[in-house]
Amino acid sequence: MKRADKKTTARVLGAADIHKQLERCCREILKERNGAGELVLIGIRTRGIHLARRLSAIAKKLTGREIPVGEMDITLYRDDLNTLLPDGKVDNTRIPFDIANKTIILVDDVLHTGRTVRAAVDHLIDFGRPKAIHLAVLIDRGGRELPVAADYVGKKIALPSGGEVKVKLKEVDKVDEVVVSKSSG
Amino acid sequence: MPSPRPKEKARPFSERLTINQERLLADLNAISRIGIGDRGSVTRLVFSVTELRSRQLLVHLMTQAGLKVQVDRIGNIFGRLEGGSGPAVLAGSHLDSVVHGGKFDGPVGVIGALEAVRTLKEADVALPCPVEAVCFVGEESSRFGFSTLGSSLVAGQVKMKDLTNAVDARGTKLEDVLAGLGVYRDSLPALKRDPKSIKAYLELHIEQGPVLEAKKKKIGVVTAIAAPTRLRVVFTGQADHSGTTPMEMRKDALAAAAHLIAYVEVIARANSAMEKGRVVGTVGAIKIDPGVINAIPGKAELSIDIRSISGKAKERVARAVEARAREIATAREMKVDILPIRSEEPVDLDEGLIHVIEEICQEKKIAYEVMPSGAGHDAMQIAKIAPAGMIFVPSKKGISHSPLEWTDPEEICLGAQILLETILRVAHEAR
Repeated sequence: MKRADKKTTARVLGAADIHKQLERCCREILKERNGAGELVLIGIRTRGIHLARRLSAIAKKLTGREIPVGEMDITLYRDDLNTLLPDGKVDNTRIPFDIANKTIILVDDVLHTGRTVRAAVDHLIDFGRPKAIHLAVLIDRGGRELPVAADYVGKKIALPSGGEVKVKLKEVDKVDEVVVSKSSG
Repeated sequence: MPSPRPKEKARPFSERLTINQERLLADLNAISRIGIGDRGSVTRLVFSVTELRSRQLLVHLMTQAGLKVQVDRIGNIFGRLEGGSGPAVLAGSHLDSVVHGGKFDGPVGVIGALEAVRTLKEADVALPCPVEAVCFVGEESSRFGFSTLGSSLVAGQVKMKDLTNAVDARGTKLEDVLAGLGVYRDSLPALKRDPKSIKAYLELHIEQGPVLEAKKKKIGVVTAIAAPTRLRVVFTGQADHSGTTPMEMRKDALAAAAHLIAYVEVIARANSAMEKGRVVGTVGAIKIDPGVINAIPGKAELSIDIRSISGKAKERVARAVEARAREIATAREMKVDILPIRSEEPVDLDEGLIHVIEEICQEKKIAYEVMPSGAGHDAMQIAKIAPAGMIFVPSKKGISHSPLEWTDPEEICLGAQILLETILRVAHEAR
């Protein structure tokens, strides 16, 4: 007899853990990227933006200086755009500074296939020529389909392809936590 | 009694303000890279991914410049610099292109306006009124056969039936694309902008013709914009065997069409010398059925484009062409159908603005030409609800809608500089 798939869910990070990991990433970024001089953070919609803002706030606490934050919508650069018609929105990317010659830290919640990051890099290149682009993610869940790697990772989770990881943030989900679900059965 | 508002101390507007040429050219290049193709051609058809990306870049440039950015529902972009009170001075153009077009048709006016507004912002000039850099959606008719879409909507000039017939080469209806953007027929009127919110509209554009270069002038001051009357004329004769049908028994639709093509050239030439109402006429496309070597053409369809800055002269020529088509058909005992496509009225640009631009050129000792525009522009739509003016810069060999389209960087910068000074003067004018 065929049994229905059961999903088991587990919380892998709580609010305090998320903050701790972000703070660690922020320290690493500041240390390796030579203070907050020409450094800027660009968050990928939706949760990446909130994580970028949090990183900027942490940096301010640590150094007294805020890191500028930009917001990015990668829709027009997705590689599955032929099946997915753009909705015509052109003002969901808001980067209130010039990116030329800046060191950019792209921020997203989960790194999985790498396709989102590829789109984000193409999007940035249309806007100018940054000095460097690095990647910071809260969760690296593996399963890459493109040669992409994160420079700053909150937590690595080895997840089978059927598994799911969900980052929830207070700003949008009313709670700070990372939940993993796996199919079993 | 309300106390009068303390008047802002306006600095003299003749104050030397200079655009940042390097930044203007760099941003123009950045826009050109989006949709770049063979031999440096640019393809950004309205509502395509590349065209949307170019508008996304513009929003970024405006945001970066500290302008208040507003995008209306169809995608027209307004980057506003607040100042003083009352209606705003608008300047802009479009970013969409034809298929395999050039880098300059449209973007020169959009980035030129952005550069002018950025310069004002940086100089922290006390402006007597707001100033806006504008990008209109879908100026080119290349995709849907519908030109100046965004500016027509802003001016409240769109007829519903025009929209219904607009379809691209793949059969995609403009109406459906708009629905995908959340824009429906009944929401179109809401896109119209209150004419009272616009003090003037200025558009910097490449000439797209050979006049400025031939006359060695740097700037064109545009007086009027010619508008097309477009007709589709279909002769229906009889398709027959080319070997067996005697000459006197034929009804050759193409032979009839050939007479009309020749007539369009003759009548346009006869009306081309008139100072106030120069007419140009073109048969740009022809479709023949069956279109094989051994058959007498049974059907010939001509697309005729007649333009002038005089509505009367244009209509006179159009009526003459129609009359001639009927004569030809009657004499040859065949059927003719005359189908008007979109007919636009020519537009006179604002005399006050023409005067201001001329004055600036004279003061700066720039060789300029006062001239009409043979091509259509967003300005002709906005002119219906507000005073509109246009500044032309030369096109090398007059080439446009081609990757060979070229305007020297110094000429683009000069055009943007004149635009900046015009904006300032118009902002300070009491109107």
